[in-house]
Amino acid sequence: MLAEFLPILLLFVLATAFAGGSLLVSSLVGPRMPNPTKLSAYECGNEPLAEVQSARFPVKFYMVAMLFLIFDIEAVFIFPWAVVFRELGWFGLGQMALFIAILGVAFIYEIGRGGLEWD
Amino acid sequence: MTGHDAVFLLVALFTGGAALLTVTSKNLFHAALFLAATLAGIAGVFLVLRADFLALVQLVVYVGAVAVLFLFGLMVTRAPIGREALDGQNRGLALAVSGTLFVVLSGLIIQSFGGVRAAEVTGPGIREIGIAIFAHWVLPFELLSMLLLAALIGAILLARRESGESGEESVERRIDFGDEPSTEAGAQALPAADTAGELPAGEPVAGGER
Amino acid sequence: MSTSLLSAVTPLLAQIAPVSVEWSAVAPELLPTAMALVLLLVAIARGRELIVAVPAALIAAAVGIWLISMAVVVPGAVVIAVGFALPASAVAFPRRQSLIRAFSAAAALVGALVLTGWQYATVLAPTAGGMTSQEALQGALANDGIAFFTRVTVYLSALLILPIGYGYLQERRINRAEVEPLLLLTVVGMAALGTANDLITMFVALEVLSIALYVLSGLARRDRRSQEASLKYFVLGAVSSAILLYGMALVYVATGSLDLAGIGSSIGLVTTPRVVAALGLALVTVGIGFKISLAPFHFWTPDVYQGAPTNITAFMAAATKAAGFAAVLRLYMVAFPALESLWVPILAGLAAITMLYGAIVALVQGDLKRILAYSAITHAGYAIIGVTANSDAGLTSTLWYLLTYAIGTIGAFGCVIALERRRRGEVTLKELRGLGRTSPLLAGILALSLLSLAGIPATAGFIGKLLVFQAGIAAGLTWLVIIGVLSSVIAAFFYLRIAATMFLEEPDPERGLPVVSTGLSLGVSVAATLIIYLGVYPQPFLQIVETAAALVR
Repeated sequence: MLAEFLPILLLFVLATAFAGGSLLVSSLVGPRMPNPTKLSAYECGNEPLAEVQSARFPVKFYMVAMLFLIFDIEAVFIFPWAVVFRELGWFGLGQMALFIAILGVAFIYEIGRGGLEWD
Repeated sequence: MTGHDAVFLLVALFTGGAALLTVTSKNLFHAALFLAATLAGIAGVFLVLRADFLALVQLVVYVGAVAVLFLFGLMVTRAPIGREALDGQNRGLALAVSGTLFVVLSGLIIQSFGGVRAAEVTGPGIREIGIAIFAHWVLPFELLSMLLLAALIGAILLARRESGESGEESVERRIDFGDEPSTEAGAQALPAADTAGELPAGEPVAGGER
Repeated sequence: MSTSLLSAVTPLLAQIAPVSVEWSAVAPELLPTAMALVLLLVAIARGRELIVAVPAALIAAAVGIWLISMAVVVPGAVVIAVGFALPASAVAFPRRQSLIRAFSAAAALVGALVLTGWQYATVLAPTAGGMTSQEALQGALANDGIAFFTRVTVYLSALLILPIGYGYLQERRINRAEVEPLLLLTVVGMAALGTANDLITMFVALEVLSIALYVLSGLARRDRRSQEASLKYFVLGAVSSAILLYGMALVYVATGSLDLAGIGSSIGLVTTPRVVAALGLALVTVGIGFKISLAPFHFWTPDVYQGAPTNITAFMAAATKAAGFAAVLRLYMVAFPALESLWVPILAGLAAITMLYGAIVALVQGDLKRILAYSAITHAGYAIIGVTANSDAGLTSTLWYLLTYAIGTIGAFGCVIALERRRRGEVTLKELRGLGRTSPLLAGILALSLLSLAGIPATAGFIGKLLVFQAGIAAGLTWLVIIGVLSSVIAAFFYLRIAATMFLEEPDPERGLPVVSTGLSLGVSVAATLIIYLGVYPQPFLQIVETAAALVR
């Protein structure tokens, strides 16, 4: 069973080798003639704007990640339940129904409190 | 040294190296990324132990959500992502304590179990985990749903904007009882449904006693 | 058609019936859980009544039917009625929402207490003999004396602080709709910790109550101290949970079992590596010692107790300790009795340090909340004496001590709330000057609570201390009891100093009167009544307590 993961390891090694190798080769072989235009940030041809330092990183990204984590853990629990679903019978269904119901209340609460609003 | 052991050695070196870089890196962002790499290495350890479901859970939950949360937290709090060293002067003490802990724990475990070599490594597959959770550990499973509920309530409660919290806070000596009118800006779809029409704050319901 | 329906339903019923019986062990926790869910839905009800009413009614109906299926017909019917009435009234009277929420939370807690009594009458003590124990859910749940007393202490504490904190939270604008659901979730976590019989359930229950408490202690959003308290509690709590989990993992490595009884039986075996188990025990002690504020893991307590909203502090001081001690009792008396030559001296030493440290440092504190926080630390030390006694008497005395301590602490913090609302600031000893003249009843209740905490005779606290010291002496730990008495004398000094400031000094005319709301007077009066009643006439309760030593092993 472990041998089935060997292609993944191979892919990881190849990807790392390719990326690393490209960077390495280009840094060794490529010519180095920097000028200010080449070194400035790329903004699709426009003049690079100054970085707005005072604006705070919006917290809604963090909220999205946090809410994702909570429901991700719920999904992770549904996986093993789905695999042994038939052997558990009605009892298993009831347990998972209770679990999902409690988190369903959490979901309704989150919607009601505007946790899913982007603005 | 079988092939299995060789793979474990590779994964362990990767994980240990990433962990070492996490604690010694000067750039906080790099440290968080190395932490993600360490967690991925732990997933590799799970794979070596033939617990495929746990490895995938580790990748999905830890690397996919927790490490991302770390990075977002760094960006939101504008943690110092500079070039200077981040920790205090306790490196020697920290090294001593963690080194001692490592030696003691690994020595204990090797001494207690080192002579026994498992004939075959069979980690818990997804089927065994499923039966274990839903046939034996039912109560912790339901409690976990309440744990997630509490965490969700906390996340939504504590991340909302309150008046006077735009990033600059005045230094107050006394406990602030919130006497200023509350102006809640922010991502709330409801008007203050829970404060509207309440008993006016500040009035004692019954006067003091004589 | 009807026969085919019957034949389809019968195996379903046959599968549900034993489930019902098994899950009757958690019946008291059902009510706060369901009410927390319903209150959360009600919290977002403005403008969405139908979306809220339907799930709420479903939850109420499900819980009511479940209770009826366990043959608890009357409470089940009451639950269904309340469950339908609550969203309807919340919708019909949107201006009175927070009052309705507080009443429903109180109703859920009263129901939980009733169900705990029902469990006592039917399962735990059906005959006139002692308390038996019941194991449920494949050994994950242990319904016995520890569970009974933890449930009573926790539900009573939560029930007392609801009226006490009602006006206070409103004034501090912490009248968020989520306070009651979080409170009920905390209560469920604490009750689950009291009944947990294996390591995983214990850990998950501990995390449930911890996370809800982290949020609750940070609810005063505009107050920096509250934010600081919540952050400190969270960070230190997370670290200690990690240490606890590591200790549990080591115990599992050593014994191969997560079940407390299984651990207990396998530690004695020769094949179990004792050193690994001992190291696991040490780490578990550190982790759980944090929760019960045992020195030297107590450093979070003064700051967190001072910063959190005072009614939440009262709840933390009373109920978290009770739940934490339930875990401590089960761990040391069921899982680790084979290692008692290790943990008895260590715990006794920690208890001695705790009692002396808490009492001495409290002498130099100015803020009343910090004084009470250090007194909470000291009381953890007294309760640990009962644990180190490692006997039936030690177990029952610890349980009773926690109950009396909870009542005393809540009474004291309740009076602190009244004083805090007066000047909207810190409550120092100067605030207490002459309180006996301006508000004699409040001062009297505060003095009574402090006397109970000090262990003066004729209060409930005296009985608790007496039992604990008796158990300690009977187990041969006379030196520890002597230190306990010494610490009590030192603690009595600052308790009596507060009482003296109140009754013997002149009141400052510029300070107004303490703000005592109806709820607060109700709550502290009940606490004071219980203190006197349990102190003067404890015999029937002591009879219950003495039989509470049967544990699930």
